[in-house]
Amino acid sequence: MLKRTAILLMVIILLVAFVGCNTKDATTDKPTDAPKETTKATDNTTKDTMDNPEYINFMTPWELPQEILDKFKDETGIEVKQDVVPNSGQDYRQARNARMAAGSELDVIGADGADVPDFASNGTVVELTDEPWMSNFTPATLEKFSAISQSPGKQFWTVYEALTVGVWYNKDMFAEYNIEKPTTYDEFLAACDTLKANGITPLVQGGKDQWPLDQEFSMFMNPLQMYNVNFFPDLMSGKVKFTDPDIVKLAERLQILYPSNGYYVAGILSTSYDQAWQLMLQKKAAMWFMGSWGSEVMVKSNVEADFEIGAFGIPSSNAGQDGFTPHFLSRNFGVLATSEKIDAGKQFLGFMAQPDIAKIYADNGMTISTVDGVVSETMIAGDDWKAIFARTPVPEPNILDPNGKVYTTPEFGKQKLGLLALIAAGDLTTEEFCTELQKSIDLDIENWK
Amino acid sequence: MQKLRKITAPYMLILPAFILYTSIMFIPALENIRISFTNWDGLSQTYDYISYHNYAQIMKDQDFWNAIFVTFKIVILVILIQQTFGILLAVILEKNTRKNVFLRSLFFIPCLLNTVVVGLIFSYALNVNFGILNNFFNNIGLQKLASIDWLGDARYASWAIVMTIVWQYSGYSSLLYLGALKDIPKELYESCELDGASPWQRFWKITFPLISPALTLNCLITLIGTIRLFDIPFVLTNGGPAKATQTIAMLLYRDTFHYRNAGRGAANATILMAIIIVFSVIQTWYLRKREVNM
Repeated sequence: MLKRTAILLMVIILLVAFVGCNTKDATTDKPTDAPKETTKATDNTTKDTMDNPEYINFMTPWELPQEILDKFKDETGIEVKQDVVPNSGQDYRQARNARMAAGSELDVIGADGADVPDFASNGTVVELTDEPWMSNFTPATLEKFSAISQSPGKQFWTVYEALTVGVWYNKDMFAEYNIEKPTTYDEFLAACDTLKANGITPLVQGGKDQWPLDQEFSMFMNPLQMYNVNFFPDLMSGKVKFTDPDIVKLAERLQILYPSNGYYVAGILSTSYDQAWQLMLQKKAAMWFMGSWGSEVMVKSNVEADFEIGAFGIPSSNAGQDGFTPHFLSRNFGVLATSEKIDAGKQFLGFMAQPDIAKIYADNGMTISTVDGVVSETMIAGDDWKAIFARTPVPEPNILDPNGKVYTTPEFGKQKLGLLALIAAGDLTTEEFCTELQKSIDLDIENWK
Repeated sequence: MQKLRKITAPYMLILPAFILYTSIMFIPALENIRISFTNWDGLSQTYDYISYHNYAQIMKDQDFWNAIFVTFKIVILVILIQQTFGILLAVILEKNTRKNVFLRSLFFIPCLLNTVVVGLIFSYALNVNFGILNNFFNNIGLQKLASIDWLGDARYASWAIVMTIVWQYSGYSSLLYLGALKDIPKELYESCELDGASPWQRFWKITFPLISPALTLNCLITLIGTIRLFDIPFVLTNGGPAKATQTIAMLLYRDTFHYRNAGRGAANATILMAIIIVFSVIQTWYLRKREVNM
């Protein structure tokens, strides 16, 4: 009898603990065969906010200068607790999502990529359209804010620097071998061959982190989006395929990654983003495909290069075509709808948009500011980057389906970088790369339907 | 009353451990199984039950089968190499001399280090461009070896991971074998010597069978630890090159936090849990059968 009672007691404890652990709201428990659309998580318009918080929690992959945080505290009395986790696309994203899932106290977050339209549309971040300080940004930036959120006329994010991709290079090496700054893909390839002929490895890349390979990918992707703003809708409707002969031909540009071509320093897939710059410093390569944000790792390395650094736009165009470059705002900051300090979060983002603060930010990060009238004086290869920004921008691609819903291509996103790594490992030809890309798109189309 | 106390005492003694174990292991495991049947993204308050959809997707996923292959390749190599090193170290360092005591501590130190730190150390040591190993080969004129990209070449990357794990945990394995070696009666060796057995015969006929309980335990610990391997490949190769070192645990982490598909991540975790249970049972059963009791 007692034995039974003891067992019963244990079962009750187990059940109580089990029920206690399950804190989810009621869900549809009717099994279905396919995923259904999830209902909106929270209604951010009715959220109460704390009046005078002592601090806000700010999680970001892009560290803000302490000077700015100190000034904000002096002005408002609110401390910004900055939690920096580098590598926005992977480590940071995983850490942030884990903390958001765990319900950690977070107020302001950084985001890029697919999270930007996603968080805007599902109410994860609050709307900022009517904030008076939004007018501090340049009109082009505001337009871009809406475009990246896929929400015409509305803003959910702030971005304080404009970014583009390009190629950093060792000017001294170029001068030594009389190489002109390439403006087209053919000139770029000729520059690589000249360097190689003189015993210099032309390129370096941090493929271990995977995302840096996206820079090379843009040489292939930019022209597709430049001349067809509806490239993604066309891809999803089957009108265009990665296996189309002209696209396969364009993908041949990625053959620079073939190990047999010897264009890259050995160890492309075991070299991390910051190690790539170390190899540039050691003059083991002459060029590095990287965005304007590469200046950050240069400063953080605490080693001054003993050569002059320059930059040129990504060589996406062919001979006879004008150069073009993607302009993007990828370092987005938003206020979480689940925060209890929404007003303080907005106040902080607004503070960052003040011209004097934006100047500190731009000078510190050596970037081009998105705040009207703010110019950085410290940007590495600043004139080169200004020239790159002056090139025709690649139009913001349309990623909406005929019903106005944002296309999601998770399989494509999942496979793309891995496939690029296979090219760099010498295990995949560019033609096979196109076939595999198309397979991933076919899967996305199937799932989208 | 006395009788009552006698009957309930054992249950009361195990109750705290039972509650602790249940609440932090058993219930989360059940919860994980439940989530694996949903499309929860890990953030939203709501989700839908989608039957076995996540499992069906996983079974169709090439990355999953690749991760299974990678994980088991690493598991087999680690078990074989680590146990060999562990037994070898234990036999060599068995005698209680001052030098051996020092060496035992030295070999044990790596297992006290944080695995992320170990991963970082090896990621620099094995770097093709400025790693100590390649520089060493370069300095002694072995150019072919000096040009190997240990972490960036799919042929070597999993070996790099295996050797890192072996380096870290061989000392720990050897400690368990040392304990088993101490229990072997010296008389057995003496009579064996009188019979004219060679050192190899002594090891193979006496030492090895009598340390088999330690072998079972070591293999089990290594099996469980390596099947859920995450940190070393995450730091050392980030699953690369081209997914050549992406383990099941990395895949579930990627699905859950990178692709915000907690349902699928939970399904991955459930499969991983099932694999661990099945293989642990099979391995323990098989090795126990071979054990020799004195």
